Order: sequence, then structure tokens, then C-alpha cells
Amino acid sequence: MIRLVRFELFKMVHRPRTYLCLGLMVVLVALIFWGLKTEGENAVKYVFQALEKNFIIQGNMLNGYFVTFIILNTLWIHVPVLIVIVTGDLFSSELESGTIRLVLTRPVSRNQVALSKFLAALIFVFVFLLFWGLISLWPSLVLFGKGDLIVVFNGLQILEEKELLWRFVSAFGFAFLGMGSFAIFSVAVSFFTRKSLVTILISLGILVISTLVQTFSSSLFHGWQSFLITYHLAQWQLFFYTDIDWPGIQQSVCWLLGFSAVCIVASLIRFNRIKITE
Amino acid sequence: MSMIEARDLVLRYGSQTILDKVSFSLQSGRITALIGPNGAGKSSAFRIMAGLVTPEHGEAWFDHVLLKSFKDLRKSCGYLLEAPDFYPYLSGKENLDLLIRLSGSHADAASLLELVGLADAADKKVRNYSRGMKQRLGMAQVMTDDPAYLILDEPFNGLDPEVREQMLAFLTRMKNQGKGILVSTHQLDDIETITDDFIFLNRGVVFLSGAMHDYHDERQNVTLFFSTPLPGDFDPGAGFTRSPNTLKATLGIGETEDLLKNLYAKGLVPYRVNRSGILHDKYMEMTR
Repeated sequence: MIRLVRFELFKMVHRPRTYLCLGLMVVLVALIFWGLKTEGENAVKYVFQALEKNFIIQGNMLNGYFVTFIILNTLWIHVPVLIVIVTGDLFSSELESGTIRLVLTRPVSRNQVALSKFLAALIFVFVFLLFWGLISLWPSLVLFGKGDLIVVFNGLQILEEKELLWRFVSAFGFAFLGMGSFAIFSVAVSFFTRKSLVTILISLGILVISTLVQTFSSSLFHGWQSFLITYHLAQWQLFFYTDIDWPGIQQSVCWLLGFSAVCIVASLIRFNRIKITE
Repeated sequence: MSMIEARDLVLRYGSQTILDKVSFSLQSGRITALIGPNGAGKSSAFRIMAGLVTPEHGEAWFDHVLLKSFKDLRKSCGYLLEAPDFYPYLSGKENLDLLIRLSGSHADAASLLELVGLADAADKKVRNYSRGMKQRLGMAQVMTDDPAYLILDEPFNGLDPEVREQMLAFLTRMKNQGKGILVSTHQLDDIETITDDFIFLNRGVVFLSGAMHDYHDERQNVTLFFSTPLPGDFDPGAGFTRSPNTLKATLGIGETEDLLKNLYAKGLVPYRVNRSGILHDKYMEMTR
């Protein structure tokens, strides 16, 4: 099994799209830095102008933690899109090119091959998020300095600087679970399609539809929210509530783990039935 | 002597029968040729042997022991499937290294590439390989685990005559090292020079199988080509068809030798003698 996972990682490391994905992420983060460095002060003033009428605000609101929090919001769409570019065709590309036959003439079982792809996808997500976290948090603190975090979502959240590091680490940890689940979902989709592009489009389509439904969940799709993957992917935000919503986090953790398990089981069943010689 | 057997293979896709109670065996130190026209079921038989397709019925035996499935043969066999595919973004050497790591073997990719004449293209991306180069890389990957048996589906496809010669020599070497080889091909004259056994498959059933040495004395079509027209008074005898520059007949090996001696005595020296192969004749007989 370890050999198979290494086999998958070796291929991943040699594929240009892996570096394209990492490169795009660097560009995305760099653009956010540039935008906030040039126009950030005005934007922050605009957002908090109502607040300044009632409170005296001291210190640097546009600090490194605030910038990292802004970057974390790319977890909604941008990061899943980048991840699916790499993980979305882990299986279908092999089926499409015929290399899966080469693998399956070795003394390995189909279940082992499938599970190795899921594990490789999770390792990629971990490395991707670690890299993303490092190029977000560290340069943010260097470029924008430290300070308390004041953000407006679900009311005003004010968090002291000394509490922020563990909250960010926890949010990144949750992001790993969320993005890992999405990667597992995209790998699972690849077991049901024979074309890499179709796999990626289906995964992204689900992401877009889920986001749309979630956006209108309060008015049109009442009660649907907790069934949407994007809702659970975004629950990293709960770590930035002044009083952390632990039950909400637990619920999302369970949902994501259950969802991942369903995806893996469905993929194994599918892979054991699929004709690979066509 | 070690032996692999496939017994009573039955494979159907819907109402179409691909293989109908097909049985064959291969032994260590022998080459067995699986021969048949396109659509005869050869590749399906190979895929079953590789465990890629599960037959409706069929048994895999290894050294007279019934195996649970054909997948259990993978530990002892190296497979070359028809038109092998590799990871196009990796070089030939990287592809081999990857497969060696997957198998956990200690083979040396560079040596294997040298063995199949691809040492110069080791670092070239596979997407830039010709069909023949991919075929040779396919042969190299068969050897990564140093298997006891080689199952080769159309190994001569896309190879130029020189490389085909090298491949034949390679297979002979492997046979002499004690490996059992099952090979399918349309290059009947080539395979006849090295094969020990043959199986003719037609429309999913075994038409004929046997050992080559049992057929060596069979009569075959012989054509002799002469650079100058044959003399008008030359009478080759009954059973011969003559044209100004050729002479045709159906002869055994001994009869062919006698004819040549006779011709040489008369000063008639053919510049070429074609003797159709046993496999070729049997193939034509099967497809008629």
C-alpha cells in the first residue's frame, strides 16, 4: 500500500499541473497582498466607518492576521478549484490513457489502487494547505504587522492577538478536513467518468451549484444548508467567533467525515465493477 | 517442470461469445504461440490471464494447483498487453523506475532499457516515443520483476525488421533461461523460428494446438525462383507448376532437399527458395 501511495505521489510530482496549481495559488495570494497594500487602508476604513462613529479604534486594523483572514476566504471557491485540477483526474486520466491496465497487471488489488489514490490526494491537500498557510500567514505578519483581529461576520468579532495563532492553526486544520473531503469527492467523481475534463467540470459544477444554493438558502432553499458541502467547507469561520461554536464544528466534522466515507465506499464498489479494457 | 494452465475459459459480452471453453497451457523453458485472426479472442484470453477481465467460467492452475483467480498468476507473470500505454509526461527510465518501485523489485531500469535497445532514449519523454519504442519499453517493463512467465500480446507490433530480429533473439534467450512464454502474433514466419508449441484460436474456440516438432515433416508449399528462364526441355515431374522463372510444388523437407540436389546437378541454381511455414499453412487452413 505504501508503495502504491509513493507511486501516486511520484506521478503527481512529475505532472506539470501540480506546479501550475501551486503557482496559481502563489499568484492569488500575491494579488491579495498587493491589493491590500495599495488600497487596503481605504477599504478597511469604508467597512468599519460605521463602527468608528460609536467606538474609538486604536492600533492597526489592517494587520497580518486580518490579511490572513481575508486569504482564508479563498477557501470558498478558489482553493477547491485549484485542488480539483490536481486530484480530479487521478483516476480518469489513467482510464483515459490506458495506464491503469499497466498498474493492474502488477500484484496489486483494485481496492489498494483506489485507496492509494485517495491517500495521495489527501497528502497533496495537506502539503498544498501547509504551503498556502506559510505563504499567507508569515508574509502577512511581515508586511502588515501584528494586532488584534476585528472582523464583521455574523456580527462583530473582536479577537485578541494572543488568541489568534491557535485559532488560525485550528482553522487551517479544519480547512484540511474540508479540502480533503472535497478532494476525496473529486477523486470519487473520477471513478464514475472516463474523461478527465468531465471529472473536473462535474466537481466544479457541484461546487458552484452548492455555493448558489447556499447563497439563497435563507430565502429560497430553507433548511437545505446543512446538506451542502460548501456550507461545511466554510465552517472554519467558526474558529473566529468570539465564543467558538464547538457543536457547529463537531457537526461539520461528522458530516465531512461521513461524506468522505460514502465517497470512498462508492468508488471502491464502482472500481471493482468497471471494465478497464474498453 | 513448472506449468501454467488456463482451463475451460468462457467469456461472453452480452449475446456475443468471445471465448468458448478454451484451454491451453504454457511450460517453463518453452515458447507457446497463440495464433488467430483479428477478433479470434486472443487479446481477451491475455486479459483474462492478466486478471483484467473475469471470465464467466474458467480455471487458473499453477503447477497443478488450482488458484482462486487468474489475478494470483500476477506474482509469477510479466504481461505485455497489446499497444502498451505509459505515463506520457515521464521519460522511459522514469516510467520503468516507477514500475520497479511499485513492484518493490531491485531491477535496474537502465539495464532493462539497454536490454531492449532503448538506452539512448532513456531520458526522452514517452509522449515523444514511436510505437515501436513504446513496444520495446513494454518489453522492458515485463522484465522488471524477473517473472517466471512472460505473457506477450502482439510483441512484434510496430517493430522494424531489425528490432524484430533482436526481439526474437531476446525471447529465445529468455526461453533458454527457463522462462515460459506465451506470445500472440501475426508474424507467423518469425514466430515459427522460435516457438515450441502453438494454439490456433478462431472465433473463440481452439481450432488446433500442438508442438512444432510434430509437424516438421508435413508437406508445405515450396516456390523456387530462377534468374533465367527454365529450359524448355526441363521436366520437373508431376505435381509441379512451372512458369518461365519459377517452379512451385508441395513438398516435404526431404523432397525439397532432393529437388535442390537434382537442380544443382543440372546446373539450375535458384536464387531464392521460399518454403511456406507450417504455421502459415495451418493458419490458411483454419481461415478457409
